[in-house]
Amino acid sequence: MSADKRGIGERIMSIELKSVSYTYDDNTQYANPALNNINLTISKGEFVGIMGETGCGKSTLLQIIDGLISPSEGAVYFENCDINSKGFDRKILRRSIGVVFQFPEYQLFETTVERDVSFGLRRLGLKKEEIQNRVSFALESVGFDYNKVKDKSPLSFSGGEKRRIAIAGVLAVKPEYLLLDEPIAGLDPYSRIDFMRLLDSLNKNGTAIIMISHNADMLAEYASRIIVMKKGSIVQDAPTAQIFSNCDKLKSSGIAMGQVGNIVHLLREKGVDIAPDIFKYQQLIDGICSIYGGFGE
Amino acid sequence: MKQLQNGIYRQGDSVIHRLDATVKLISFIILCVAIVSADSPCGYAIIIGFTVLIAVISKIGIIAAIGSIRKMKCFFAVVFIMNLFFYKTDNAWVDFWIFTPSYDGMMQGIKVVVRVAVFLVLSNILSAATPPVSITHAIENIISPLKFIKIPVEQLALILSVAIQFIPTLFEETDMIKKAQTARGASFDSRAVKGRAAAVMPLIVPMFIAAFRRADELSLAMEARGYRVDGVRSRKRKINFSFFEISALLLCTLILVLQIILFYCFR
Repeated sequence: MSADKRGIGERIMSIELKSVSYTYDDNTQYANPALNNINLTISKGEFVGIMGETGCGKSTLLQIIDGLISPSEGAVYFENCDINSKGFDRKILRRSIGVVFQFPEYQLFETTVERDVSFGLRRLGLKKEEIQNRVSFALESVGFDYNKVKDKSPLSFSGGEKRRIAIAGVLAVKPEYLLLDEPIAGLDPYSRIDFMRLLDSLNKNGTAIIMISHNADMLAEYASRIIVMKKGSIVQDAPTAQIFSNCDKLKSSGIAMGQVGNIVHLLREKGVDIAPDIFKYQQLIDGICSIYGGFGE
Repeated sequence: MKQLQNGIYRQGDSVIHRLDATVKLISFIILCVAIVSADSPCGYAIIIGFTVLIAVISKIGIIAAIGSIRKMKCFFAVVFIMNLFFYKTDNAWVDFWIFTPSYDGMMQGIKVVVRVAVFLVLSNILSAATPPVSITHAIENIISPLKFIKIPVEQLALILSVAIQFIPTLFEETDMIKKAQTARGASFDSRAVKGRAAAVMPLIVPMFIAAFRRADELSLAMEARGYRVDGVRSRKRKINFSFFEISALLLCTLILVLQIILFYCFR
């Protein structure tokens, strides 16, 4: 790899954005700035949630990180190499970063589930046996019986199932970083929880998760760090507890508190003496139990 | 958010934007005939100059008017080479097997390339400066005489309208699918023919499925909102024939007449 290396030393396991700006239709009168001077480092193993109003540049940021679009200004470094430099081998990105776009079910195209899930693996030139093992692992991770579904057409499944098949196609590559754009939008509550648990287990096994979502409750529950964006800039980047402890600041960025936050807010309005910095369901239950002396077993 | 593409209406308040859509479409057709009639350097200079003038007046700008035509370099190269090597003429430089490269062929190649490029730029300006709904009404107005021979003009206009309005959506969807498949390892930039061919399926299949899904959803939504094929529809806007529209038509006709005069005088 003859990429632009910055300094000699250990392989830094991170994705780093330095002064990244991006403008759609750049150099035309329809120029539309989407990102403005973004500085960001995401280390391996993190679970980062990205929140912000619609059109604030979240999806653009995701595409910049995966090198699908090049920044108008600034640079993106993947493990210390500039991904937009001429010599950089994009295959490294495809192997290390998996992306689940909004409505990933629309990208299915192969004749069988097995072929669709193995699409990325075949591009990487893996051996047949390894491909089969990974496809089986990925399909079972998202709750399918490999032998039952492998020969069926991916298009014959329901919307939610198609989405799980598409996500299996990304997981099969075993990426070190998993980028997700609104993956739980449109899923039923149980599928949402199942999916978040899957992400949590992947994260515990070392995969960095970078997830865009409007669902404050889910991010509060699972993410360790939250990035809040507004009009193409990062306005907050802090540990989850810190972000959700400042309700007013979050609201000023156009983000609604989750259910837990709202319940705490209502309880406090009614005069219940509950801690204001509660943002997880378990914390809420514990808080209420400690006030009312528990509800028995 | 999306990138600059062909066929997308760009809001504006220029003279070209305000011109009646039917008049704009008729002027476009007249200019297309003028492009085909152009045969001398002077004729081409007039038509290119006039196109640039329209692009400037419309405030769309030359870059936006050229749009993705820049990406069609290969198409233009093939058209030029085909004309250069296969144009039938008596004074070829060499006559080898089926190839007859000649000066006439070269000139013919340049002419065809310029004609197609100008035609595409004009159509870009037309679609950038006219809302899709107005274009449909314009088409409906122009083909309305066909009603007398029982051709379903309104339905045809509606089909065209839907097709035109969904071009940007389909572009966006295609772009998204392309990015998703790239992220999965598909290579759309591969220079090898085999690589390119392999990249087509992951794009074409989801695109077709998306187009059919959209068509299905749209027909249901239209029916749910009371659309009936045999319904009688009235028009909100009538054709606006002011001094300004008449001047535009006269100007375009003048360009065409000039081309015809040049064609016969300098043959």
